[in-house]
Amino acid sequence: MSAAPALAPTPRVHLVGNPNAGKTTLFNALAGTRARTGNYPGVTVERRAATWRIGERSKHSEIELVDLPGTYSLSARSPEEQIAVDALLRDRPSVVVVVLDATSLQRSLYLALQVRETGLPTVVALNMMDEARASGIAIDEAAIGGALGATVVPIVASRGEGIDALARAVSDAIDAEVAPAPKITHDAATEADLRAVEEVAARTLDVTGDAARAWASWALLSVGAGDELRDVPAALRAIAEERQTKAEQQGRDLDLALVAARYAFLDRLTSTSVREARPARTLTDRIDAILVHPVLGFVAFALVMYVVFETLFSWSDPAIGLIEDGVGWAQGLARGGMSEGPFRDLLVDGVLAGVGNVIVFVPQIGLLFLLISFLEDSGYLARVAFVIDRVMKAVGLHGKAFVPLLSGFACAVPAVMATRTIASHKDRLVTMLALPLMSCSARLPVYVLVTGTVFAGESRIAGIFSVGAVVLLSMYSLSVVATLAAAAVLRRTAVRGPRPTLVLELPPYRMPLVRNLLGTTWERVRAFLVDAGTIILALTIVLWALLSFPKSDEVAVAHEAQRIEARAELEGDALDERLAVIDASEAGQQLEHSAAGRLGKAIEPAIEPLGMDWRMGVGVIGAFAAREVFVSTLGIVFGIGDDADEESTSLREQLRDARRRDGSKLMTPLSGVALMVFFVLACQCMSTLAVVKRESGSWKWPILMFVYMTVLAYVVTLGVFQIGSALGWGTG
Amino acid sequence: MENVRNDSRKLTGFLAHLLKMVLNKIMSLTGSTRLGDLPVGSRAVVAEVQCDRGVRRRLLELGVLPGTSVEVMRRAPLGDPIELSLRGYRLSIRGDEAHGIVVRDVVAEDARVASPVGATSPE
Ligand SMILES: Nc1nc2c(ncn2[C@@H]2O[C@H](COP(=O)(O)OP(=O)(O)OP(=O)(O)O)[C@@H](O)[C@H]2O)c(=O)[nH]1
Repeated sequence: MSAAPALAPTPRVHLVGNPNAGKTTLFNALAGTRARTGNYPGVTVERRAATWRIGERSKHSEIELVDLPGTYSLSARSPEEQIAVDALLRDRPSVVVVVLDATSLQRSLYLALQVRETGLPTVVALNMMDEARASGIAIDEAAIGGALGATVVPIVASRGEGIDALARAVSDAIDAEVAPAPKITHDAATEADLRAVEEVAARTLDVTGDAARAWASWALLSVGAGDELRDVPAALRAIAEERQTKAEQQGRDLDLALVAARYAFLDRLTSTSVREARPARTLTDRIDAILVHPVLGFVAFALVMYVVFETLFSWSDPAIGLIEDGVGWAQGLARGGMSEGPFRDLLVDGVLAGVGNVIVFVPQIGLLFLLISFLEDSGYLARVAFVIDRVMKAVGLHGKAFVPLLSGFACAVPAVMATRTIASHKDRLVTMLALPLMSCSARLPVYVLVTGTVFAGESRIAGIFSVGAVVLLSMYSLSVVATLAAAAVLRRTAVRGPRPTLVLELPPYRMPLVRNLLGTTWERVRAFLVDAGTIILALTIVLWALLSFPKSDEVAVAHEAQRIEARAELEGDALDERLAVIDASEAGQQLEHSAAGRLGKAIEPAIEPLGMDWRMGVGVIGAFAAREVFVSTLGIVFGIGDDADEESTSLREQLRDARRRDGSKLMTPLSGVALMVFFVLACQCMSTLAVVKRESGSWKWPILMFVYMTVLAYVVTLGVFQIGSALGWGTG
Repeated sequence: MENVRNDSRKLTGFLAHLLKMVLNKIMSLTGSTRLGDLPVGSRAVVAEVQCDRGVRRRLLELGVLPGTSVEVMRRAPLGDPIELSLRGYRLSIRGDEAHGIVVRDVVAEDARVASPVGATSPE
């Protein structure tokens, strides 16, 4: 029976490799940058796949190429480490391509050996051959291939060298008979353990031969107290634990025995087939002499972090301004070109505003990822972690959490996406959930409005610092303290896990490829637009509806009457001025009548103890779109129109004059501070929630984040306002 | 039932951890040298890896296992972590982990004063 080639199923090829071995570069060289990306369910790990048009070189014209997460080993203790294992042992691809860094074969062959143990057809791509040659490393590829039972192809992925040979080798491997797995010799006791587990694996997982043996050594090295592995058959888990316990009782070190047997095999192989000439002092050593120097290292670190920060905080401003102008222009066009009515409002204030809310993040995300991919691919990001880890360790975080946290000062959305550089799922989650407490730039307008309103005077502390500046600085300090404390608490509660550690390879410095940088950046931007963007758009429309409906006919009729009256009495500028006042007043009253206005009033009893009234409540609801919207929403509530900004004197005056129902002043220094504290701590940002959903792959985490931040904000603000009032600071 | 099993697992895990800590203390009192104690520039051979199982397994799989020779390349500007060179690559680990790694055959950086750390030298 011979099937026509067109009917043969598309062969699947999985790409595995150590981090920094050039896997992404190879993937792009093989399949272009048109990868399809998505998240593996339930973990914060991205899945990349693409169609590799292998073309003329083979009778398989197309291959489904899957890029597995970078890893040093196939053993696993967490679901994200398990991905690679499942991809090989459960999915059983047609061929596995193992990407190795030819300059560190003594270590990286370990992964290749593990892959071969699964019994899958394997091609070893020996990458970085340019560097290996330059530093005088001589490799006997045939000997390595022979020992492993795999074809070894030397390549330089960054220059596309050896790609044709690799394609040929993969194509041959699809059709050829697979070589048996290499024979690793174990001591008798370990061999017995392996046999026992192998038998259960064969029965429970319906596998035979090499695959059963691979499952057995996987289970013995992976299963154990505190592991979080999924879908391990109970019987397999039980036998593995039984054998581990027994070995322990007999004083045998099973983990070491299994690993050491592999390394013994490899050390024997490399001692004859890899010849290394010790280079006197590598380029990387010379660069590191400066970049991680006790003093200069900090200077370099500070400079790079300054660039990261400025990129987010100000260099992306022109592009953001352009986008905002463009959206405003489109809104104006739609407003002018359509007849008045709810449909026009939906399009202009719902859909177009929503699209604007999404694409306004693109400059920051794009620039940040260009920068981060540059730092990562060049090797410096590992040094960032190396330099600052001592500080991050103190709060239970990983050195790599620094860049995301710093980015949080500008905006949580790109910052959450930047957590991707952290390897461990739990470290990533903790960082992601804590960093929205960092005081982002969208909170600044709120601080400016409040301090401008309640601390406007010239009073100074110690004769130097204006009260406003001191208050502002306190808010930033509070945000840092809250972030670090939240990280420490989350580590011990919701995201409990093994003690975080740092075991980090410091790769040699390498020149990043522009194609990779652009490819990665575009992938991140697209992921944001598609996955987080749709959520943000939908939420914008919901918020718009809440703030617009239901409308009161009474208010509309009354204001229409005022307009007619004004037109009869006035003309020219005086008329325009009067009409603007009427519009603003109508908008304010309609907002009061809307669902959001009613909601604001409904929650008034709950927020009164925080020093807020219903108008603040409406502002807080509106600010869910983005914190700075608090200012313009207050502008509408107070009937000054929607174009009030934080510097607006009329808004400040209105706020200063505003009274509560009982006649006391709404804005006192105390209620101002309470309001700012609330904004520091509250999760007032739908975009952050959307992006956390995207990056964590589940709604569970954004919901947890929203709840913990809201509770924290409520409790702390309550404390501030109530204690302050009790101490008599409330009257201002 | 499940709870009891979990609890007993946690308990044994905790006891094992305690035991390891005590052992580490005793070992360091009896003079076994730790990777974390070596000055920058020294080379040594790993004798034993005694960290928690998860980290230990990772270190072993990264090639930090008995018999492997390592060199301490530098300390981070704030003193921790440290950078090691082994098996042709660079690895950075924290002092906590480095103190769990027992080493032997220590050679100091400068060949002229090369003498195993811990060996008594004539006064
Ligand atoms: N000299 C040289 N550099 C290369 C080669 N292949 C890749 N690189 C560079 O090595 C660095 C790391 O490559 P990546 O493709 O990002 O490595 P990766 O394995 O995907 O690493 P992760 O993204 O951390 O998983 C980049 O700066 C590449 O430009 C090569 O064959 N020779």
